[in-house]
Amino acid sequence: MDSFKIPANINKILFAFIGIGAISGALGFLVDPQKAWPGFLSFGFFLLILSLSGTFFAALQMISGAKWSVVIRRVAESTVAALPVTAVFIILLFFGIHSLYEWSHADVVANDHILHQKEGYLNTPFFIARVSGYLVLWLIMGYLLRKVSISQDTTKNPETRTKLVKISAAYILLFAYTFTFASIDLLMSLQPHWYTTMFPVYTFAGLGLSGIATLIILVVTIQNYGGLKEVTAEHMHDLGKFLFMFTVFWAYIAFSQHMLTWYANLPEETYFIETRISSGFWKYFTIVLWIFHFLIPFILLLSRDVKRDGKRLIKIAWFILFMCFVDVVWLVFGGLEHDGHVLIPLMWMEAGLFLGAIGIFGYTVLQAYSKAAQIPVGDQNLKASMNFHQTH
Amino acid sequence: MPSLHEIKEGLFSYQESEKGWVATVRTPADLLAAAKKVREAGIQNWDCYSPCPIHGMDEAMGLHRSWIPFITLVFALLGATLGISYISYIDLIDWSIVYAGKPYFSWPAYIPILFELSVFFGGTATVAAVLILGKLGKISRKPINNRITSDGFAVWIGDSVSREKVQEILGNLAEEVSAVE
Repeated sequence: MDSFKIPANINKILFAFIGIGAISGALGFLVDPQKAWPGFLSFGFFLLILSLSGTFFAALQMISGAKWSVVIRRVAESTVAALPVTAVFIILLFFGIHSLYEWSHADVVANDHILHQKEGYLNTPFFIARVSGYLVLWLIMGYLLRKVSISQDTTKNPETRTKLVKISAAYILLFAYTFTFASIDLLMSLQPHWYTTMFPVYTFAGLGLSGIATLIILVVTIQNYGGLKEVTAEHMHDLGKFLFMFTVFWAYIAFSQHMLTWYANLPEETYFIETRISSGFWKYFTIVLWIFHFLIPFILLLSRDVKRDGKRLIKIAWFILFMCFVDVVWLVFGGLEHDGHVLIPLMWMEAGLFLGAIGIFGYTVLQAYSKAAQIPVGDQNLKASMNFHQTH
Repeated sequence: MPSLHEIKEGLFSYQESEKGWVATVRTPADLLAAAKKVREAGIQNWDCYSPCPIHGMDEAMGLHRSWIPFITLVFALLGATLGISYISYIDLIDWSIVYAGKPYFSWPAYIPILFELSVFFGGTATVAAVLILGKLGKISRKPINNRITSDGFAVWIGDSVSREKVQEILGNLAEEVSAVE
């Protein structure tokens, strides 16, 4: 089995994207640092969910014993390659803690009873220690899963699968806790007075959706350049179903959170949604998000033919991936204020950073993917996966 | 979108006639091969019997896609429409009451009802469609071969074709060819 050769023009495009991202990021910090930090946080968090999603998908398929997905497993495992770069960006974010999080200001905390009570958890040293801890855990587990999986290519030992299942089970458990707390620390603590029990589920829905969209984009792109010949319309169909499922799941979680808040009508819960739908810029932003993140992909993905056709599915996947980024921007910026004014994103900077994230993620992941066999050739379920058929 | 005629054809393509020949085969793979041969021979009135679902059978038999998902969609939309009409009629026209200081038309509260009724209408309509279109629940029908409900696989071909023709099409795939009266 030959490994995948990255075409030169793909690398050129990805480098151009990284260039655009770097320039817009630098310009953003020059023009308006107050708005640049949240933009940079959106970029960092988006890159983080992309890099985590593949390992999560691979681990999920492994512990559920799924056979259909074996041919695309190597692609999913490769996404961990973007995690080291992401970790560098997250560490750079530590320099912006003071600009981003109000709980990091000693004078604010001293005059605020709630923040004072929460100080044991929300304080700068503990924040840095926690986030660094998550990153280390994710890196170790992600690379371990990939390494063990690749070792099976040469050993062809069926026992490796048992080992992978054990690593995956541990990963899923760790991931559930670490990602929950990472979402709370990085995004939810931007509004430390806000109470909800559903926020990490919401960010997880975003992770799942953007992860499947990324997987579809990677698989179809690799196929367009002559790789992954084993992936058929049957596998695309299942990926399409996953994309559809997560689109609905995202809307379900977003609505559940919204409806419970709306029913109870408690001030400490409502102000999250109130700052986002009551007036002006954010009202239209939210309406656009709900229509383009859920309604349009939902209707497009109802069709079976679309889900089986990689060429059409990749277009929807790109669209959804962009909307996932818009969703992160909505989460980060929606509640921010500066000197009593609602903070509105620079837009061009976020658009540039989106391309930058795609460039960094695409380059690192394709590099890693091209270093090993395209499919797990030693897996005993590979044949079952290659002969996979949908029933009508 | 398909024409109304195509939908009607798709819904009522099941053959009720039982007279003909039944050829038993050994394995699911043989059944797939046999189905392909019968289809390529251009025979119209035929069917396959298996105790379990076989992947790729639809392609081998040349079956087009089932119309049942469209029935589900239509009835789900009907359920959603009925749900929203009913609850907004109550809240806006028939019995307007202010609950918890919310407006009369409180759409977030309607979504769960809308969802439940879509699922209920879509689900029951699907089950009904499967029963009606598959002509299931008929107890007077005699089995064409006793083994096809446990461990046997068989191809049934209508009596417009002779026994010799059946044997010629299937060749050595067929274990035994017997007549069904």
